[in-house]
Amino acid sequence: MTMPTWVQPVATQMLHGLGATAEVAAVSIAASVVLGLALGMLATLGDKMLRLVIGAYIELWRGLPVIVTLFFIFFALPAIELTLPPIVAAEMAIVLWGSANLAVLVRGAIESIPRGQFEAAAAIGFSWPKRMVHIILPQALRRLLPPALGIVVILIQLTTISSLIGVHDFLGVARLSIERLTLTTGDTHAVPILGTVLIVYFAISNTLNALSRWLERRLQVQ
Amino acid sequence: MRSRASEQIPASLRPLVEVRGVKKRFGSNEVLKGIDMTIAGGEVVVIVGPSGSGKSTLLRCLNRLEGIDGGEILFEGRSVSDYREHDLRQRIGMVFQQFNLFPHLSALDNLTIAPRKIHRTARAVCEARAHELLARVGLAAKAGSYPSQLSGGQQQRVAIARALMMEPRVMLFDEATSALDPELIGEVLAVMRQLADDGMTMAVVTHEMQFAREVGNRVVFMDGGQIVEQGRPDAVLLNPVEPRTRQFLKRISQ
Amino acid sequence: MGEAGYVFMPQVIWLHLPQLAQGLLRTLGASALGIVAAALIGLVFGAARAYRVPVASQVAAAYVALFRGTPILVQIFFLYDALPELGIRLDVAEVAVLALALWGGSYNTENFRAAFGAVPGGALQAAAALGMPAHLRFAWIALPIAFRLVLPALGNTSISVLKDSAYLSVIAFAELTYVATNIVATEFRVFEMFAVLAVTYLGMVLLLSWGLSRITAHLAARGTVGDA
Repeated sequence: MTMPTWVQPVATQMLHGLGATAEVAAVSIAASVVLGLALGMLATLGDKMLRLVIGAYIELWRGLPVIVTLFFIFFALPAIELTLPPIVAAEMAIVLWGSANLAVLVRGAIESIPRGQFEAAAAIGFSWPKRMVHIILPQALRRLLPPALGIVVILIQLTTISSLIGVHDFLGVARLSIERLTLTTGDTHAVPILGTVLIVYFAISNTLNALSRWLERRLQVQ
Repeated sequence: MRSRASEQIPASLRPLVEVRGVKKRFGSNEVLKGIDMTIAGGEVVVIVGPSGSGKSTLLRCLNRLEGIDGGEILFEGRSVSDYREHDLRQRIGMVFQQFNLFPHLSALDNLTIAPRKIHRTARAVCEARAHELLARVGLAAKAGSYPSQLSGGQQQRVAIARALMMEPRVMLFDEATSALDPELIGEVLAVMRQLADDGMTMAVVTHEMQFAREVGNRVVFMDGGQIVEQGRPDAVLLNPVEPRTRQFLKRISQ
Repeated sequence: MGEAGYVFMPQVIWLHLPQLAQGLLRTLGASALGIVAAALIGLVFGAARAYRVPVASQVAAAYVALFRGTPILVQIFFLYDALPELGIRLDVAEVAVLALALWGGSYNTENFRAAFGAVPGGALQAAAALGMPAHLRFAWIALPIAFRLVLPALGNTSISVLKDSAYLSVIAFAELTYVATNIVATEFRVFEMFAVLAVTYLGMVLLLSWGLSRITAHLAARGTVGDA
C-alpha cells in the first residue's frame, strides 16, 4: 500500500508538534501539582485571611473559562511591558486552572482525615510541616490520587489551547498542515489529520483513566 | 381465638395457592428443597424458621419475584407461569421488610400511582379510595407526607395500604416488622390482625410468635429449605413434634 | 500605548455595551440549547448504559470514551473543518450547539448512569410487586428518582458547558469572548475587557450554582431520596 505523498511531511511535522505538546503538558502538570499542593495545604491552616484569599483564587481561576484566562495573559503581559514567549503564557493559563482545581482536591482530602490524626501527630511533637509530610499527606494521597489523575488527564487535553496563540503544538501543527494542504492541493484532508489528533489524545486519556482505575483498586485493598 | 369471617364461609373447592414440590437454587446453593404447601381462601398461614431457611424466598416465588427450578406453583388453580407477570402481581399483594415506599411520592401518591398508571383509573376515584385505606390503617392525616417524614411503623402501614389498593386476593408479608423499632411493631401488627379479621388470605413470614398464635390459622415451620412441621398454631408452637422445631422455639424464647 | 502606566478606562465598556450584550445573548442562547441537548443525550445514553440495553449500551460507552477522552477544542475544529469533507456542511451556530451538546452529553451519560444505578432496588421491586410492567416502572419510579439524584452532577456539567461556550470563539462564533477579544485586538483595552469577562462569567457561574443548591435543598426538604 502506498501512502499519498502529503502524509510523510505532515506526519513528521506533527511528531514535532507532539513533542511540543509533551513539553507544555509536563511543565503545566508539574507546576500545577506543586502550586496546588501548596495552596491546598495552606488552605487548611485555619488562618481566616489565608483561607479567604486562597478561596478567591480558586473561585476565580475555576470559574473563568480557561480560554479567557489565556487571552488575558496573552494580551495583558505586553500591556504591562512584560514579554514572554507564547508557550509560557499558555502554561501560565493552564497552571492557574490546574492549581485551583488541585488545591480543592488537596484541601478536601486533608480535611477528610479525622481530627484525631492531627492531634496525635501534634501530641507526639511534630511541627506543622513535619505533621503534614509524615502523617497527613501520606493518608491524604490515597484519597487524592484517582481524582487528581482525572485532573491531569484534563490538563493534557488543555495543552491544545496553546495552539490558539501560535504555539506549534500537536493541534497547532495539525491545523497549519490542513491550511497548507488546502492552499497547495485543494484538498483539506482534515478528516485524517484531525482524526489522528483525536485518536492520539483518546489513547492517552483512556490509558491514564485505566491507570487511575487500577490505582483505585490497589489503594482500596490496603 | 376470635371467630373469623373465613370460618363462616365454606372452604372453596380448591385452595387459593398450591405449592407442589417447589425447588429453588441460587448458584450451587439449594435454598428450597421440595416444598409442598397450600393456602386456602381466607386462611392466615404464618411461616416461621431460622434465617436462611428459605421462608422469604418461598414467598417471593409465589408472586414470581423469584423463579423456581423445580415443581410448580398454582394460583387460583392455574400455574403462576401461565399468568402474565404483572397480572399475577396485581392479584397478589406484597409487603416488604424494608417498606420500599417510593421516596419521591407522598403517601397518597404512593397509593394511587399503581392503579392510575396501570389501570388508568381516574385520579379522583383513586384518591377517594386511597384516603379510605389510609384511614383504615390509621394514617388519614398523613396523606400528604413523604416517606422520609414518616416513622418506620407509619411507612409500613402506608405500604400495606398501597398493596391493598390493588384489591389483591392474597397478601404476602415478608418479615414486615423485622426492621421496626420495638415500640412501632404493635401498630403494624394491629393492622395485619384487622386485615385477617376482615377475611384476607395472608401468608406471613415473621418472628412474632404471639401474632402467630393469636391470628394464624396455621403455622408452618421451615428449616434448611424444607417444611419440618405444620399445623394449628397451638399445636406447633406449644407442643411441637419435631426436635428441630423444639430447638428453634427454645432458641428464640431466650 | 507607550505610556508609563496603564489607566483603567471604563468608557470602553459603555461604548461597546451593545456588542457585548449581543455576545452575551449568543453565549446564553448556544449554552441553553447545548445544555438541554446534552441533558437529553445523557438521559437516553445513561439509561442505555445503566440497563445494559444491547447495542445502545456499547455505542454509548464508545461515545463517552471518545468525547471525554479528547480535548473539546479538537472536537470543535473537527466538527467545523472536517465534517464538510464528509459532506456535512453546518454553519457556525449549528457547530457551536452541536459541539456543546456532544461534549456535555458524554459527561451527562456517566452522570445519569450513576443516578439510575443508585435508584433504590427496593422501590423498583415494590413497583413490580404491585404489577407495574417494566416501562411504567421506568417512567414513574426509576426516572423521577434518578432525576432527583442526578441534579447536582447535571447542574455542574451544565455550568461547565456554559464555560466551554467560550471556546466557540475560535470558529468565529460571535459569543461574548469573541466580541471581547476583538475589542481588545482593536482597542488594546485588555484589563477593561477582562474585567467584563470576569464579572460576567463568574456572575453567571455563581448565579447558576446558587440556583442549583436551592433546587437540591428544596427537593431534599420535601423528603426525597438521600433522606429516606
